[in-house]
Amino acid sequence: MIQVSGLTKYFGPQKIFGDITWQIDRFQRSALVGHNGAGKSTILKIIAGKLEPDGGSVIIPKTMTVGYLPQEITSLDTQPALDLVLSGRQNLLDLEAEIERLQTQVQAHPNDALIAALGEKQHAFETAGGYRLRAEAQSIMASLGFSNDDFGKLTTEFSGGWQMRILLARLLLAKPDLLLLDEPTNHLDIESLAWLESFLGSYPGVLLIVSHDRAFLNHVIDGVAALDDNGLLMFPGNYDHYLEMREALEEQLEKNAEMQRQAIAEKQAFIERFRYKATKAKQVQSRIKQLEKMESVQLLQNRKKIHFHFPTPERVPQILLELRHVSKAYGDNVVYKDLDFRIYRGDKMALVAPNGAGKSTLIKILADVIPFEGERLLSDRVKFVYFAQHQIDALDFKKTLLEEAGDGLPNTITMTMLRSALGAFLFTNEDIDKPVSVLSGGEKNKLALAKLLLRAPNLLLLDEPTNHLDLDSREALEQALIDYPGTIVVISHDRWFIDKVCNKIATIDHGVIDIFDGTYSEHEAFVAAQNAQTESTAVDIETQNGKKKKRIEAAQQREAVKKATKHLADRVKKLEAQSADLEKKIAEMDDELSLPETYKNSARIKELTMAKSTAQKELDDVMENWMMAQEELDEAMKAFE
Amino acid sequence: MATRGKKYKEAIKLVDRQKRYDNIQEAMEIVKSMTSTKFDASVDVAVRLGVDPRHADQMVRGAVVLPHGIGKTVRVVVFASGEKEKEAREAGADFVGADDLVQKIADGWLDFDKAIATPDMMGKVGRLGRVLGPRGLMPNPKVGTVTTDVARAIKETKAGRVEFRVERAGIIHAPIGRASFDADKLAENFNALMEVLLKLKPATTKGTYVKSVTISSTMSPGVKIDRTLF
Ligand SMILES: Nc1ncnc2c1ncn2[C@@H]1O[C@H](COP(=O)(O)OP(=O)(O)OP(=O)(O)O)[C@@H](O)[C@H]1O
Ligand SMILES: [Mg+2]
Repeated sequence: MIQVSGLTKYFGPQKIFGDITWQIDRFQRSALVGHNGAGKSTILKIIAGKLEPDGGSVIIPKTMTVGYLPQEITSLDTQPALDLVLSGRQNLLDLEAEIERLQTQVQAHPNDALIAALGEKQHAFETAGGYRLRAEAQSIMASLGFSNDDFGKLTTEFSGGWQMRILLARLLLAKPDLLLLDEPTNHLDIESLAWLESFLGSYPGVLLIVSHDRAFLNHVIDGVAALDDNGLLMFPGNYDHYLEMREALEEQLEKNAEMQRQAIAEKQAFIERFRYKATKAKQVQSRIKQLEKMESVQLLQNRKKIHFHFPTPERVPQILLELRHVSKAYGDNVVYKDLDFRIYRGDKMALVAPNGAGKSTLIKILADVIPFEGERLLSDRVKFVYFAQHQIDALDFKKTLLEEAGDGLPNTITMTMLRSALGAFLFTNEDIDKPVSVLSGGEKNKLALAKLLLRAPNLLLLDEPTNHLDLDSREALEQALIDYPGTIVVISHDRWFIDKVCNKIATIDHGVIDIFDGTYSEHEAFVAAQNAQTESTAVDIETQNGKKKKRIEAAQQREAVKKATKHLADRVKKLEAQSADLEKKIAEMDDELSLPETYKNSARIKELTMAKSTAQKELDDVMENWMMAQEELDEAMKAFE
Repeated sequence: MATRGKKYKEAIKLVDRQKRYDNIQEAMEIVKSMTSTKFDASVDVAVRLGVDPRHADQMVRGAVVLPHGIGKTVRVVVFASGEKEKEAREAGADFVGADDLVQKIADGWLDFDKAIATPDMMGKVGRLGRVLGPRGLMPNPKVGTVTTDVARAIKETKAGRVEFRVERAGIIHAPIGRASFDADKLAENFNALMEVLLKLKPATTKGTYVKSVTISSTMSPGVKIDRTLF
């Protein structure tokens, strides 16, 4: 059990929170939520022992091990990634080294005492899982998206997001009794996110997670601690349940407040009326006392929202940006080949694709920040800004918020405009003189956004702009982008966000970009309807055209069809191979599961069962895609007949 | 599970799930009868002990030579040189070597069930930790596989020497033979194992030492033995 009592923290004169009391029980899995800057990360840091509170205490049993993933990377020792992950079990590495030493000693002077000592150490190492350590570390890293080549790469060669994954892998290997995670999902893609959900679902310790990711929290936690200016409020259940309860509570409190207002009004009226009547003096006195004693009902804190309006951008030509015959490959991995692509005025385009399909690559080519082959034509007067996935890494941490926001801005923006724009992002006067380095994760993200948006761009290239943002800020950004008169290309995992903001959906599939005019929901409905109707439509066309059909040179025809449908056929083949692989993998796991050795090893069983269910899910997806691709291919072929 | 389902369901009818058998031989008969004759399944014992394996001094680990063996040829390799190498060969080791054996295993050869080493080879063998360790093949003085008396270690292993150690939940798993063994032989093997296990009771354990005993074959449900026998 962990006991937090009377916790208070100030930064300078600013009180972040006061008198927080919280008892965390064994096996509890809680989310800590609250608006950007509420002090969530600060509480986590204090519990992790990285920061001293100004008042109160945190008591953690001595036997309990604690692990902490910060919201932002500090700096990593330069060493191979796998080594850093392994250092999560430093005690085992030390033991391993000692065993090696003893082995050499035993070889030189085989005496009984040394041999016995070696036996004990080796035994302890084996029992603690020492011999499986490396395999386990690699398997965790692989699940978080690292490839075999990455294990030996130096930590400093990785981008910020990947460095966070390395730290996360180290923690998950160490499996501390108390695991503190600050926004762990910001750095993950959908696949590794799903894995992390299931990993944490069976985590054998206490979990405390800060996150704004609703789906993730619903999977993992069983209680919510909500932090606002009034303190910490506890809600049992998952995140959706918390939202419902909170709303109900809000209503109730408002009702109470209203009833109290009425009671006060009545009492005051009574007092006014009978103040000078001696016969009622007693009743008047008692009502005055009652009023004095009454504590006003505390309402839940209602957040102001960002209300940002973009400076009106300059008018631009019909086509803002065009790619001609663009190709891009990373080593052997060809992402785009001979790609033509245009961005039109007024497009609010979402790039949608599974991870690794090349969304970020495309947006980087559009922003001209990576090398590629082919032509990129930027029209006159187009002023674009690029918000990278880890844009906050680009902030100057030494400057103050105000200095950094003003850095590189056009002269047309006055100090007053700048201050009011920052106010619109909910930065207070106290905040704007803070150095960037002390800002919370969400505050940094808002600053990075504000900075770009102030430049009156007419084209926004945004890669995951909602990371770290709380729900209110997310909605406010949505509204600002909806109102924005310019052009947008955006990548986001947040489907809700895309659906509200975007009017074009670009799907990327094996380097081919398909553009749909409409919202995300319309696109989904279209895809579903298309799948359902493919067959019947194809038949219709068949009968109508049946009689008119003329014989064309058979060979020539086949060749043409083949060429036109090659990308589809390739895709079908690729998916077939994938599903065969997966089937084989699953069969192998089944085999292992039925071995007596496995049957006795519950950890392995769990591992296998989990791996199997992941593979099974993957297989289902692949099969579905395969069916769709096959239908598409059939349809395409028929159209040629 | 699906493939196992039908047989398992048939077998489970034979065993009284609630009953704690106090006649070992009877228990062995039941395990044998529940096991398909198609292949000669291994018969295993699971003993749950009242120990906390996280405490080093409550870590029960040992070995027993079963009087009737486990009905399986055990392939033994020995890391030894000079005199000891000769001794190992004469005792019937399947492969004996020093640097050459280390190299062979490092190259991926793993066709053996047990590895034994003389202490003076441990510096070399240690380098194979990452290969042998995860497979439970690492020689360890604590269970008698690092020893100067290689002849005895080989003979015992071949004769049916079984190593066991307590796993995370306080459970010990060990084989005691095959379903084709006579029930009385299985019972004798079982008794030999239990005898050693009782001797290993750590001084620091509190409360009941033997919490439950279950016998099963690879494919059968478990038959519970009355723990008060021990
Ligand atoms: N060293 C410091 N000096 C001054 N202010 C600080 C310092 N550290 C943090 N703050 C402020 O304390 C507040 C709480 O920060 P914290 O990082 O705990 O917020 P948070 O709830 O984690 O927010 P987010 O959701 O954005 O991550 C913020 O307003 C931040 O600017
Ligand atoms: Mg934070």
